[in-house]
Amino acid sequence: MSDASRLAALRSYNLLDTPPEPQFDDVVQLARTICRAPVALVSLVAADRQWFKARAGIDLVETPLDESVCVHAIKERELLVVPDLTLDPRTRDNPLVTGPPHIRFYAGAVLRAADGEALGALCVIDTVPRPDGLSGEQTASLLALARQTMVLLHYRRAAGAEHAQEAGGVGTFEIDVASGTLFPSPEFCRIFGLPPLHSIDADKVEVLVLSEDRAQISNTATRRTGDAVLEVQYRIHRPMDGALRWVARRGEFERDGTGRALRFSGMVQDITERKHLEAEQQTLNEELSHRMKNTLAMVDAIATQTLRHAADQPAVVAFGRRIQALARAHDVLLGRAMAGASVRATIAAVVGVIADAARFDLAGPDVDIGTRSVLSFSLLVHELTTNAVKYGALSRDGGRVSVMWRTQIDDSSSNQAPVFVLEWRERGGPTVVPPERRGFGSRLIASGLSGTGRSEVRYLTDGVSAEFRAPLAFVSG
Amino acid sequence: MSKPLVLIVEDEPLLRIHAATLIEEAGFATLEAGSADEAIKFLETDARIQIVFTDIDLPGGMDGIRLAAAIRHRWPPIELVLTSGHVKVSDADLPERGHFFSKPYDAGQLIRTLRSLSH
Repeated sequence: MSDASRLAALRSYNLLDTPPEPQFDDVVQLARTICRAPVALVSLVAADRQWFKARAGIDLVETPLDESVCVHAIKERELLVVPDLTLDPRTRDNPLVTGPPHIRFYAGAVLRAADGEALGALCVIDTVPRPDGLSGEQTASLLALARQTMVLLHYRRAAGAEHAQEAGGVGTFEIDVASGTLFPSPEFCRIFGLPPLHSIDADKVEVLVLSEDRAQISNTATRRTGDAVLEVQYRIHRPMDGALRWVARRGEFERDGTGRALRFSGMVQDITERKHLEAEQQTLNEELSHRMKNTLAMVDAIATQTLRHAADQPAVVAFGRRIQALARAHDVLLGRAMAGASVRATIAAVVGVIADAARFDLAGPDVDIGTRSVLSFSLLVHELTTNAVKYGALSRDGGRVSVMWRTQIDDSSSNQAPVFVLEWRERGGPTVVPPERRGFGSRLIASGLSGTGRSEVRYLTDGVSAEFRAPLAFVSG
Repeated sequence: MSKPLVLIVEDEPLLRIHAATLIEEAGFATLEAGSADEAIKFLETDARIQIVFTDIDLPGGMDGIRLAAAIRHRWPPIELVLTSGHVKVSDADLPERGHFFSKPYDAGQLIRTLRSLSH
């Protein structure tokens, strides 16, 4: 096993540099007595040192690894005995052997966690060699004490976890489906504002939930059928103080061989603070978006006023519409709390700026565009729509545009990364010809999705047909 | 026949000037107010006003939604067009026969709507 996973296991016990605890002191006293040794230690082997959770007969609380014998012990299956440390090549140059306290004999039983990781050793040390090592009884006792030490460590960690559960506001529960009895953890009772209880009727807890949120929680019927929703969030009125709290609950069913639900158990967490933060964040997002759209409106106003007497008025109109396309994409983004926008919603919002959305057929899976790509994506769709309205299918009655998108594995690339493909197809319009002039719009179209340049536009007799490809990671990024 | 009169209510001067220019170029006459209070004063003194085009986010006590509701109540024949940078403006917030444009709005669409209302 790697040292990294061993060290992770050691960390999970939260032992290093903690104060002495009597149960571990008892263990080293017993080991010392049984093995008739002057020194006994509970030694934990960390990345750069060994640290003693309990020690008897020595003043050191830790040593560097080059002064450690336990670092060799943890490589053994369960026990390392070195009758004379001056003769063993692994230990003869150890400073504790060559200098004071001149240790000579070592016997260490590995402290091995349930998952197999060696955390350290329970060891006894003597200052004279012991050619015969430990007796059979002593060996068996040292191994038994090491196992007991692991039991102590296990309970110590579990108790710590319970403490952490309280700090994190996570409670647990189990409901017996047949009787409807709920068995709560102490933290569950605290979250729900109940006195500490061993058990309670589940429906007495359910009435604490706000009536408008009660449809989603589990009840006698949905627990019996095993259909209760497994992850829900709801509000409760805490009976102690009447406070309104948000609770997140995750549950799972335990079923018998025939699939019948026996028990419904899981965890609850008070998420009131998180909900408040989310609400504040949403308000902030809306305020920012509002300011941004006002700024876009100002940019539009400045440009229009500045260019009022310019010769190319269609250009001024095109500018204003591009600004609007950006603002619409921003709306779609905000609707999802800035966490990306759906392809369908973005296309629908952007084509609506200048065209009748009813003349579009949109088809494709639910795919999200990332926040970084959504603005350039919306500009691309806007330019295609503008061309369709001016020269293409939408310039004539009855013409239509279908937009299809999909994700697929790109066979041509070696890394098999998924690719996003967007197809734009106009039908029922006049015969189209490639544009003579390469303006901003056609450059935008040519640059494709996320500026990847993978675009193909064909001017067919019945309308434009365009296809755009980009790595899905680019689009959703 | 005189030009139909549109009262523009917008606290941001640049956006107000812009709106006035657009609307005048389309053949309307305009009045400009920077707040709901100013707008009410125009309405109380000038009976020719046919349409009020107002921003929703206005300084002071009365925003555009409350202004529109007040106008619908006191001057029922006047047509109302609202605009805002806010995304969420529900139909319930709009007065009867109210129209809404999200900022930045399309000049062409705004003018078409104003023309349809002034007939």
